[in-house]
Amino acid sequence: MIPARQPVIIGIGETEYSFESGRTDLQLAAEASLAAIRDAGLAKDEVDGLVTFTLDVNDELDLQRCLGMPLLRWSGRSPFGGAGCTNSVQMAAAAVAAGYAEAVLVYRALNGRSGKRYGTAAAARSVGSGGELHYAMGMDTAAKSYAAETQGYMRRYGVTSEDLGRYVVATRALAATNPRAMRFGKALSLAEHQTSRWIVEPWIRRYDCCLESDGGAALIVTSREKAQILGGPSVAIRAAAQAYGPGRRIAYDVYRSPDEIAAEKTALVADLTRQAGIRPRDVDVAMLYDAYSPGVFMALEDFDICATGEARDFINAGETALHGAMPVNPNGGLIGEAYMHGINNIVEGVRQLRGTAANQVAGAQTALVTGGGGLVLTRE
Amino acid sequence: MWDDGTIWAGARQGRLPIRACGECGTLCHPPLPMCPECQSLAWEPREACGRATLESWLVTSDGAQPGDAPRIVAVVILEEGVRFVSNVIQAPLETLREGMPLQLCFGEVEGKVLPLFRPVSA
Repeated sequence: MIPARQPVIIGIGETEYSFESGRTDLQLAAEASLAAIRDAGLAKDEVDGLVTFTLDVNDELDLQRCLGMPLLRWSGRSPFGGAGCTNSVQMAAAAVAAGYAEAVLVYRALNGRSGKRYGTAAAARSVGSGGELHYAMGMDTAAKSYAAETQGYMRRYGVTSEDLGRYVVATRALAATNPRAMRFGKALSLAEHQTSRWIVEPWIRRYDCCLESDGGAALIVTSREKAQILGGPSVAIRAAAQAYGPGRRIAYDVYRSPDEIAAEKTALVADLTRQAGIRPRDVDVAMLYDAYSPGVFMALEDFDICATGEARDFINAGETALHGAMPVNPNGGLIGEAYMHGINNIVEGVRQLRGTAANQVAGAQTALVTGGGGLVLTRE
Repeated sequence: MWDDGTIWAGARQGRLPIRACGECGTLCHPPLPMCPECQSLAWEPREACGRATLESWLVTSDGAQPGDAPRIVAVVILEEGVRFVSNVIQAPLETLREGMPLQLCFGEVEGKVLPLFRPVSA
């Protein structure tokens, strides 16, 4: 048995993000992966692991052939939709720590706008068991599922559509100054948010939703020892955790009580804290999974960044802005940059710790990334 | 075998059968093949009494399904203690409140008989 090794992220790569890529999912995966390999300073024969989401349509062996990898020693896929972002990094980190692979490529590539659109009723119908019980009732899209799951929080703490709008305006302002963002140069006003159509009346408007994007994003996980030989900038995966409690569902997670949901979040925070030696709230920048804007409010509280029920005031006071108490999603997030099912938010977390982001948090040493689970990343 | 077909068949007869474990009696919805409490594979239908309260709601105004007229989709808590996704009828959106009492009724949507809920006062 090889002793556990510290996993680190050494390479990041992305295609451009667009509404119509004009090329196949496989080409997007290959382009993003090659960019990450080159960024890491690796030769193609040094990458020996591939991890992606169960959602990804690309075949691992097709990608291996594209990249000219001589030997695939580790492969895995993370379930649970967009939760695959943090969970796939956990899977790659486990392989590196155990010595099953030396350098694992984590990737997600999709034509999420010009190809299969995840926001449709057809896409949501097939997720998990009991699909017809939801579809026949008209509970038939990811947005509706999300609205049902989050409105209790909004009602309990008086979070209004206008409150959501103020967060969206702030994140769109960040996207507007991030040249990689699909909303680059396109700031949004509160009035535009408030007059945008309901996607799910009366909870979620058009601009509360993440983008639908074409593109690819990738990163490389290896050991600290390997990173030191390569010599480039590296970011340690100090904690990688997931926590799914009884009764949890990925789509239509509406069958549990608020207490059951809270217990799951408590377990996740405890595990991240135990592994990292710091609390999630102690980091310098937070990349919070923002498929829909209410998710940011709830994550701020779930990860104890602000007190329960105070996310609205925390955001309105500017504390999630670049110079606030906890800068959130400086890339504009999934709402403003792109929806690569969260991998682009991890890439941004790495960029922040390298000090090379478009909207840089000064001196960032530690980052929290959330998805279905969470990661704590630290600058090496 | 238990699947959601049992619920649709019940609805056609004006009933809402929920999966109950044949050994420990735990209700399980959406139905699973194995009891999450005691892992028994035995089950029996338990007819819901029809009383429920409203937990969450939304309007389907996005035309996600072809020919779908806007309706109010709701998560209700059955008196038996399980949550159920349904529609609320005979209630304007602005009158809906968390915890409001509802009564089971049945209606046909797109050629399918569905278990629906209406306000107790309606």
